[in-house]
Amino acid sequence: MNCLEFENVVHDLAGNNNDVVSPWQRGLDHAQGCERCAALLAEARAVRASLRTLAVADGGQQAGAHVEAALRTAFRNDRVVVPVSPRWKQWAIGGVIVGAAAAVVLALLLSFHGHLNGPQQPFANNTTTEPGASMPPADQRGTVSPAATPAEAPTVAAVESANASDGAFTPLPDSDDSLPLDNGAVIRVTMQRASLASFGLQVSDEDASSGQVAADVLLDQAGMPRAIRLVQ
Amino acid sequence: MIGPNELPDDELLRRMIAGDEDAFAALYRRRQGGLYRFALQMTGSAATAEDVTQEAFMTLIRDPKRFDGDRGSVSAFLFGIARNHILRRMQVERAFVPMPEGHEEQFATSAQKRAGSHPSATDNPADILTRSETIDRVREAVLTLPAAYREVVVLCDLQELSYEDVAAAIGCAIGTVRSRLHRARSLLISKLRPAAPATGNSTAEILTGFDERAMRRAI
Repeated sequence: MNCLEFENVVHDLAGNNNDVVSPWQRGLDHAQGCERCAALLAEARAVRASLRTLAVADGGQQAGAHVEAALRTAFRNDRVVVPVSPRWKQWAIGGVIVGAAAAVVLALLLSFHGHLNGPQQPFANNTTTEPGASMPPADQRGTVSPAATPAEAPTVAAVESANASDGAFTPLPDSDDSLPLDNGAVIRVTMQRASLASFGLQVSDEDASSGQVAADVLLDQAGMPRAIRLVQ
Repeated sequence: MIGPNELPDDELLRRMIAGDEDAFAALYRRRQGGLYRFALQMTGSAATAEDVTQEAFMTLIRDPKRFDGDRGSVSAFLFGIARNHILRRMQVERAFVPMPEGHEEQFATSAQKRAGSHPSATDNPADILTRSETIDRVREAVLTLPAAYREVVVLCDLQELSYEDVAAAIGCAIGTVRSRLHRARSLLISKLRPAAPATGNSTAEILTGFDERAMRRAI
């Protein structure tokens, strides 16, 4: 063993830590023949002994009684008591929480779905709703039967003529008038005049080439178009 | 029936969690001294040591479930909490310049303590003075060690915790504890050595003779 190796074990030697006998004995042998390492060993032993003395000197030191009093008060007031509950009870509580969360999510989804499919709310928010708008009286509606064939459908000119006379809606030929219009909505749309054919109106070649047209479309509770009024 | 004082730490902790104040008191009385001395020897301040002791047990009161028996003993857990509080305080207080007037709050020197106590008939005044001076010198040397070395010296050599408990308390491997301890003891030798030339004695001569007498007396 050389001096460098000795320095690595000197503190074990100083503490009589002879877990590994061979290095321990070799270290002591080295110290017997090396004045420098013998002095180092003596210093290490002295430091260990002085640390033990310091430990003994401080052995009686402890916190004041007021610390225990304060802690006991805190224990009574602040402690978090965690009752030991059976595992099945913990699972049951967890299940209830998860179930409640799922119910809330389901309710939100249903609400959102109903909102999307609602009769007039989404349109009403984005359109000009006219509470006063109403279907024409039954006798006027009779001019165009709900079951009217395309051949019987009113022409664009007829609708414009009707609007010009009283501003009333003209029923669309293919609309289903079984649903009430109490909560109906009116949306204003802009479209190619030729597109009026999609509402079942007859569009002449002359009408089709005359550009865009604005129209108020009366929707029933199911969101289906029931009548139309061309905006001048 | 077994009283709280005979129960192991982990059983006391279990009862404490269930709301047993006597169990908490027994655990506190068993462990507070070590925590207090650890903080005292780390910081040199009795007031700080009391604060740290209180904070460590407050942490235990508020969050006892943090203890994991697989990671170490209750004692190591408490020392770990105390260590965190100590290091936090040391970081905060590093920004402040200590006031000389506050020195009475620091360690009362061993000589001062001796002066206030009644010496026994067998005490030789010269021995008392030498021993007190050396204790103070060693204490100061420990306090000047870097924190990472100081804590292993305090925990291993002064509090006599096992390497396993120290490793659990400071959150490192046992090998790290060993290597830091080796380095810390070497630093202590070098810190105590400069005083030797003034008296013409080596560190060993300064410390060993009186220590043997002191140890005999202590035992």
